[in-house]
Amino acid sequence: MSSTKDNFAISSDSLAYFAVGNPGGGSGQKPSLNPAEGKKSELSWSQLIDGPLASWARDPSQLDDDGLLAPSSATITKASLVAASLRDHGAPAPTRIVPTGDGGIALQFDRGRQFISIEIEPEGVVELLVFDDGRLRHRAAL
Amino acid sequence: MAQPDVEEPLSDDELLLRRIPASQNWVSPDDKSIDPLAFRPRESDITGLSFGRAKYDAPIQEAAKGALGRRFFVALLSVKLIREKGMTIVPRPLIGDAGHAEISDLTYANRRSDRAREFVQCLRDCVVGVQGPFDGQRASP
Repeated sequence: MSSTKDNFAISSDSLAYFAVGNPGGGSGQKPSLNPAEGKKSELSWSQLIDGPLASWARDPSQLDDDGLLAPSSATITKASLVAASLRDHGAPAPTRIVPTGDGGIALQFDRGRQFISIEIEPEGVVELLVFDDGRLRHRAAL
Repeated sequence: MAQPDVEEPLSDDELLLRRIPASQNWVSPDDKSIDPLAFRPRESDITGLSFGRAKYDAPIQEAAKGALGRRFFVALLSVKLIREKGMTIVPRPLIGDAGHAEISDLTYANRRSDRAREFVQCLRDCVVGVQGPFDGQRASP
């Protein structure tokens, strides 16, 4: 894992879960994320980065709600960097980008039986979680 | 919060109600599918993930327990399906909320554990309906 103020680096092994880059010798079977497999309409990266992420950055308090914690400006900025990095590597856009309710943001790739989530936690940790039929198959810090 | 004395057991044919804030975009506007994050325990879920029981309150009444000025969807979940996924549901009536119940496997403290994340993911499959959004009616203390 590495990150700077201006970018967020994602390892090639993690990128393999998005069907981009070189798997780099990982032993687990990497799922293919072909946009055509998506069960729902796809948003574009620019729609996500310039849409909800930009809107939340302007006013994070819009996500304050009953018993929930809105993401901070720093968390929103980091989520934008992660999104930009995935976009620049050619990854398909996520199905959804949503607040986690406890101060984080999740980029989600919902493929029916397979569900991939990248969670940007309020503490600054970024995690990749891969589920198959509800079972957690892979979990790693990015 | 204090509890009443009587706890009516939960039967498999019951439905549970989960209030979901509309502001979080956890309910898809097109097909009303629910994001698993709607089931991630919140800070108030100390002893378990909170639900209402449909035999005590209608969905619109469950939504009304939410904060005034906010809107809420209400997901209906099958007790039988939840139990089949290996989760434990317990009645936990509260003063003024006799239909309160909890999934004791899911708490705010364990919400990021592998097991809790799997349970949260599986709860999507236990949803049998979504209603709303409805207005919250609970005034601030």
